[in-house]
Amino acid sequence: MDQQQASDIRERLSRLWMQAEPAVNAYVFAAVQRFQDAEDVVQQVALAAARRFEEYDGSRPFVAWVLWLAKSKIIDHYRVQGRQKVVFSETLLDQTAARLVERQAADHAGAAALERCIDKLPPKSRKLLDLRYVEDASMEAIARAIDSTAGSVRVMLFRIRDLLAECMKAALAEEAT
Amino acid sequence: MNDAALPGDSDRRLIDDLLDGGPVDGPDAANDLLARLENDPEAREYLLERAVLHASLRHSLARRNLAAWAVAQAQAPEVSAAPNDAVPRGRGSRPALLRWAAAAICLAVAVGGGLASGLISSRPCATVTAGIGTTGLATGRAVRGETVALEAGVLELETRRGARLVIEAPAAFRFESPQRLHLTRGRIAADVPARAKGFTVVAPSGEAIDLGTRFAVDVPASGAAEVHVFDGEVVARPEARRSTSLRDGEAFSLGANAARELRTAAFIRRGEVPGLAAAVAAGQERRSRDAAERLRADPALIGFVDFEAEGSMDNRATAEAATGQAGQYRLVQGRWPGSRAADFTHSGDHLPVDVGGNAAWPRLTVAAWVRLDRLGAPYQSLYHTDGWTKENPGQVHWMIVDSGVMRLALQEWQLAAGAVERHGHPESRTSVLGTEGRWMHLAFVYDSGSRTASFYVDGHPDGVTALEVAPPARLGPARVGNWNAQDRKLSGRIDELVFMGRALSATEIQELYEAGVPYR
Repeated sequence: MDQQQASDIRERLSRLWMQAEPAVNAYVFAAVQRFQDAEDVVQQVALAAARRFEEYDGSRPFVAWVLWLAKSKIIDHYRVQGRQKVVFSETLLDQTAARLVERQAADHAGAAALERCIDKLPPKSRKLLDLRYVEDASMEAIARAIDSTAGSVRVMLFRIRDLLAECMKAALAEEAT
Repeated sequence: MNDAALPGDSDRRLIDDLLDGGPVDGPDAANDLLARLENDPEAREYLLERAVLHASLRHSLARRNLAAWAVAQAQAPEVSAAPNDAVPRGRGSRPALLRWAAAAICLAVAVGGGLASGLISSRPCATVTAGIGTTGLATGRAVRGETVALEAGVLELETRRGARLVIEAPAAFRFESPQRLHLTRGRIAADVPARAKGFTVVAPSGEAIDLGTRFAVDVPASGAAEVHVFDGEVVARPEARRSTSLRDGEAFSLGANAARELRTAAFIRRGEVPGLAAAVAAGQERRSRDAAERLRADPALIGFVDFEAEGSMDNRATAEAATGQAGQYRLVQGRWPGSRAADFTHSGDHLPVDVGGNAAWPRLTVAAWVRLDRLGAPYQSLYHTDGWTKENPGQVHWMIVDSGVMRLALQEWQLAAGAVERHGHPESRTSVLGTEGRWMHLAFVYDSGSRTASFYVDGHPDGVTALEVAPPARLGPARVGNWNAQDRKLSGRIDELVFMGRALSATEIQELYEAGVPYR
């Protein structure tokens, strides 16, 4: 393989990966609970995709192929990390992967909408999200930080996510009209 | 999605709980939920909606926080606290926040290089927490996916998951992820906390997968890699062979696919690093070199064996000893970064030493810097003369016996009446074999005039034995390590071996130790 070919392949892989990455993230973040674990698994998937790229059949959707790689990495993770509380069955992994392949196109439009919707949140909600998503704090730790209870924190996070989901839906609907 | 198809609030909250670390109501609730997800497409649809949001929030918020941090840095340049994994992770603490923010940004950065490099995040896999004589790898430096060649010294790292690693030169390694380290050469000791369970060292001849433990891997430049387990459990997976589970106290050769004896001292572990670092920082290496020069200039010097002038490091090929005879050992790092010592691992390993000729030595001091393994088998040979027969009075054997103390034997000497030594030979008092590796200074002083044999451990007197009959010592052809006549072996390293034709005083031995000790 000459340099030009190698560079073409690299560029093609990068482009495909960027398109597939939100689906891979959602898939792995659903099946692997801790952020650090999930991020490590995503990294393993990326590495496998690069190493095995020549096996990829270009006539099939790339996202289906990387989700198939991701499935085996998730199962590897379950096997090595005995501490995972919730283990998805192969059936559930297949079902979620299949659905992600179908709906993949919709996810990209959401990214910009999410940014705008986060901006609209009140400071208290932002703080809660930062504690959860940036600091990776447990429900109990968040409760201590904001002088509340773990149960209340769960409810508050649930509501904030609902708010964000509604806001994004509205923003996308507005764009469509 | 149609609102009418949404699962009820309580189900939706369970799914959110799942993403936040598992349902709060225990394994039954979790299994119920998983069964529901398999059977209910709406519930799955909701899970995916939330998972997309969940992953997007993680990335988006981390990115925003890095931007805020960059602004704060620009406004307050005197605060130089860069993101640094060495800072203990604290809930709500700035370093924890920054570390993650930096990580997320790096995910989006495509770097040049191999095919994989465009996809793999360049966020740190580990951070240097201490470097002893490791040029260019200062404390606080982030280690990502690059190949690191360590020519000299000792490097301590902490991975993003909190695994603490000590790597000794000569070494070459590369992180595939924070949980997978490729080691093509060198020695690594790993302390793996629960959250880094599964940490794997990948050697050319196989892998060692941690299951919650303290373990070590030795990858020589040529020959088989070995896995040693100090605590807990490790799975050794030799290339193309069945995996073997190892428990504490066990060792395994990946190349030979066979059990090995645990070498406790073969690895520098975390506890040893601060003392080594402080000694190097205090200029102790220079002091040691000066003391060695003074010894070489001493008119009573019979022999000085070190390995500084020898061939390439880590070479297991037959090496020429200082005496010009061929030996068999591995050249490894000595007490100082980049210095050399002889490592005896295999049962036949030995170093021929031919000093002292046919002369009679009424007074003799022998001292060595050693780093020895605690073995199951007795008798480690420090120095055995080949001419050991009754016809050769004064021939010297110096060894470590199974209780861990030194023993000195001279052909045809006799202990004084009433001697307490149980085995008929002078022995030291304290064990020199620890449970962890450590450099030690061992010495004996023999004086046929005063008819005494004295031992020293780390500069301190450790027993004197009175003799009835004390012929002058005789040396000549001898071996350190495997001595064929009586299957004696040695497991560990010898750095300097000194023979003096006079009885050094307790003060001189103390000075020798203090000048050469690699710890502060």
